[in-house]
Amino acid sequence: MSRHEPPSGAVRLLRWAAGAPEVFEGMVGDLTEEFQIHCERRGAAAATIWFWMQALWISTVFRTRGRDVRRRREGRTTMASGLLDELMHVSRSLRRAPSFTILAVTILALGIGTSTAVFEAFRSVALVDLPVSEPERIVTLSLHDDTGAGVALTPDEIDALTGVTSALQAVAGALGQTGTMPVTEGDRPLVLDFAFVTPAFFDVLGARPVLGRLFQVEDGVEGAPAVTVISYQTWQREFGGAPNVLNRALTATQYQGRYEIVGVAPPGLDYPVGVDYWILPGPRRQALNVVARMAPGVGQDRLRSEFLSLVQGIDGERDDPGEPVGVDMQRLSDAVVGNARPILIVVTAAAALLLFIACANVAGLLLMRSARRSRDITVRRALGASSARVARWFVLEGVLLGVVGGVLGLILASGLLGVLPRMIPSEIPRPEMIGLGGAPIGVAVIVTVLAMVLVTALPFLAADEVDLAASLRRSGRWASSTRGARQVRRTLVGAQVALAVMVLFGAGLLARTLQHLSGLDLGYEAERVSVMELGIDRRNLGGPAELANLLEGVFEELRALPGVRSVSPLMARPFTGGGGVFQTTPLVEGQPELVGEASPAVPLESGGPEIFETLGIPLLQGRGFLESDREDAPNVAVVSRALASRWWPDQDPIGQRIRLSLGREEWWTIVGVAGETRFRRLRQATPTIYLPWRQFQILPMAWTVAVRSDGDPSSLVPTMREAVRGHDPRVYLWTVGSLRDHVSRGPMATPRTTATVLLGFGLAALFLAAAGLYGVMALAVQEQTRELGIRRALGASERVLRRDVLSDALGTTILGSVIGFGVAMFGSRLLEPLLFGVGPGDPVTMIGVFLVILVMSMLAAYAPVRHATRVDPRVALHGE
Amino acid sequence: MACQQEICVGHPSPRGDIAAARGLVYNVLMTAKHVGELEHMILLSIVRLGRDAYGMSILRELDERADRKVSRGALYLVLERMVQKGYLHPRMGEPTSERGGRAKRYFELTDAGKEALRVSGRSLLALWDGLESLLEEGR
Repeated sequence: MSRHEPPSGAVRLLRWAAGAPEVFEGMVGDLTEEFQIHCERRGAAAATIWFWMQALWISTVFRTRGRDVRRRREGRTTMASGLLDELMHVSRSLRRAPSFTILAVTILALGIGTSTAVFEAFRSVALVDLPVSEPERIVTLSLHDDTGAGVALTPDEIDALTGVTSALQAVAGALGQTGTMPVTEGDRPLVLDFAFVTPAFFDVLGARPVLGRLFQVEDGVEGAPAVTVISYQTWQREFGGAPNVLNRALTATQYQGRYEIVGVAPPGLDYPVGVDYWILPGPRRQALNVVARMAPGVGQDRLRSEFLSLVQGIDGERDDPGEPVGVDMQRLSDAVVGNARPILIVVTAAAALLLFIACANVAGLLLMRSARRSRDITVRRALGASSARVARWFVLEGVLLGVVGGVLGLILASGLLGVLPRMIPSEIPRPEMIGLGGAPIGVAVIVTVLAMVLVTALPFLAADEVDLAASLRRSGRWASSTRGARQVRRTLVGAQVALAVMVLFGAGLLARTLQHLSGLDLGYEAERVSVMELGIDRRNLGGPAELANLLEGVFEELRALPGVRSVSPLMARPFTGGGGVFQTTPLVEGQPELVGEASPAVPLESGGPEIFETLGIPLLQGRGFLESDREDAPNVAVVSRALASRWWPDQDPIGQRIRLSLGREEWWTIVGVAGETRFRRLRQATPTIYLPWRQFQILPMAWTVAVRSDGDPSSLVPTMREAVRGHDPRVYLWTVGSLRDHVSRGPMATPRTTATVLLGFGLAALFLAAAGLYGVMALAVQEQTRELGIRRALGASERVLRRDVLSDALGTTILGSVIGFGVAMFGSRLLEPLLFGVGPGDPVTMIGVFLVILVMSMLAAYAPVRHATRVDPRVALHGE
Repeated sequence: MACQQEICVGHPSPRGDIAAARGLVYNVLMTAKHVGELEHMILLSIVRLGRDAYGMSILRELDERADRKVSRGALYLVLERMVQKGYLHPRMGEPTSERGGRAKRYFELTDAGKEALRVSGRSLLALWDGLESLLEEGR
């Protein structure tokens, strides 16, 4: 009898599918035996096909349905596969309770998502290093005189400092603040903030461009073409990140100066804060602060003293009259992030609290689920599952929920980070850093792990509390929880209330701040006023007189428009320049010259005859400006009431004279007294001197004009734009906005955004705490059904039962609130820099928050209380 | 099930033993399966075949006696599963030439297998009790 060999490929397939050699041996032996029979009966080919069919079928069955067999055989039963089995089991049980699972996952995803987004934003803005080499060695230095006023240095003086001292390795100059001027790119007007820096600036920082080059020494040589480096954000926002930006230029409108764009700075180099493009100081001398790289190992004190003596050494040749006596030193990172730190910390802390609340809430949900399944747990334990094994079940549940919540949270966080840079107020530096790192997977993983630890640790403790014997003896539907487990659940709810109180308290303080700010008497009428800035090509204009005539013409055009009531030039747009754009320490006629703190600098404003009418500033005494208050007429001034009473407490201010220390030796006669305004600062009224613009002409980079209209100012914008352009093609409307917008978008933006974010977090926290309280109360009532029934049967009135259950709920709430307020009193100090008109321990806010919490807990307890009073003794006792 | 009863009662023995036994029982219970129809038939065939029960003979027995066509994949899988459950004890025979030099893998019932078969058979018989005539009449 001839022997046939079965197909070797099929045999190999079987060897792979069978796994164990003895199984393979028996299986292939059987098949081979039958294969021989097939060969004899139908021929080798048919038999081979038959063998293959069998092999394929057996392998399919073994590989698909035989997983349990294979796993057990491979001995992975103890850890990995046991865990895997259990994980499958847990996921099945979660799938079978969809409402619980969806709720828990949603809460976790929201908590993880928002906190991941906020942590990532905080990390990118505040923690990621500036894109400079060895950032810890870079400092900004600014000088001040004995009155505390800043003393600035000129570029030449800064150059003279370089290489003189061993403590300063390299030195550059930069304007401490950004400025703004009308620029165009082609025909497109751009609203961008510039900063003056000396050519060594980027070298001192050790920054590298993302495109093109940064400044080099040759750029500062006289006669070199004017160049600019734009910020990464500007490149993205205004030029769409196009690489051909290097062939373009920014043109300063007023003298048509071209700044060729030579490079794009790295993202996150936001110094001075808010800069859109850097340029070199022009022919005009510019007062600058110092940016320096410390030599390695130099202490801050040594640097400070060396720098001061160095500056004092060159003092003889200095232009600035101030005598520097002190140095303010800041690390560059503090100079960039410093101002924004309070709001960043507050929002991040609120997000962390929200995450804790979400975790406590889900932990509470898991605990309640475990209470509902305590019989199941008891049976498991009675059958020999160790408490560790039962705990593992809970841990797995928590981990599974956490992983799903984490993945969804990551998706949510990515979405939030996409919109966040557009939502945050302008005070926050480096918004372009947010979302630049792609999906914040690292942060999400950390947050998720934290959440999982929080969520699982608590049910673990409670699962251990399940009392075996007591639960087994119970015959009711619900096995009653032990005192310990109940306590854990209650503590969790109390913690949620406490955390919610903290967030709400912060939100309340900011809301009160906002309320105070918007309730402030501005001292002017912000409605129906447009503030526009004009760009003027001034090259072919002769002297100031010609410019003034041109502007007068524009004002006339505007005034003639239907719906326009009055028009006046302003010194600068509102809320710029801190205390004021120009400041002076005036000399009052007949009074001794005061120096230092006795004579603080007073801000100046200039305007046309209609300035008081246009802005709606009340004139309390005397007159405003007249058409005749021009260059050829005697100088006049209007002062605000605070100045009038400071300088002439017992005299009539009208007719008094002052001299301004601005290099002009004339006297100015007071003709009127105006009300106080909050035009330059919102949180503080600034005493102001008003001068007629024809007598106090400045040459700003943009001319600011206020227009009061009869109706909605925005509807006038197109006609005003045309009127301006139509009057003279050298003039165009650069920016325009309503005065109301300036108030609400400028100084109100940060408190509003912070308040909105905190309020959102606070409401979410409140909702979660309420849901947690409801759950705990509902379960407590359910567990006490029998007890309540007995009490009913023994004659307890509905009122008594209601009171007992309600006081139970309120007890938890009040205890949580007390703890929450205690912590909030300390925590709210973080908010202090943002507050206005309220203290960090404001009792009104506290009472308000407490009432909200109280109402919330009443609502949450309503249903359980109702249920408690409706317990039918017969039904409740039926089980006994 | 019988084994569950024994453990739940518990004996006055050292605590560690009880815990270990409980763990074991929990494991068994978590993985225990009822003897299904196919398992039942295979176990019966093996009993009937005695010492000659191996893959092909079982398949043939099922086909001839019970008129049940079982795929080889299902047969081998069920056999392995019952080996792992402790119902069957496998034993390798001598290699033969008609099997390409491979040995037969024989199976015989363990005590647990016999017990499981008995329990299942009893419950089936109990359910059948008195119904045969009814079904006959229905024909």
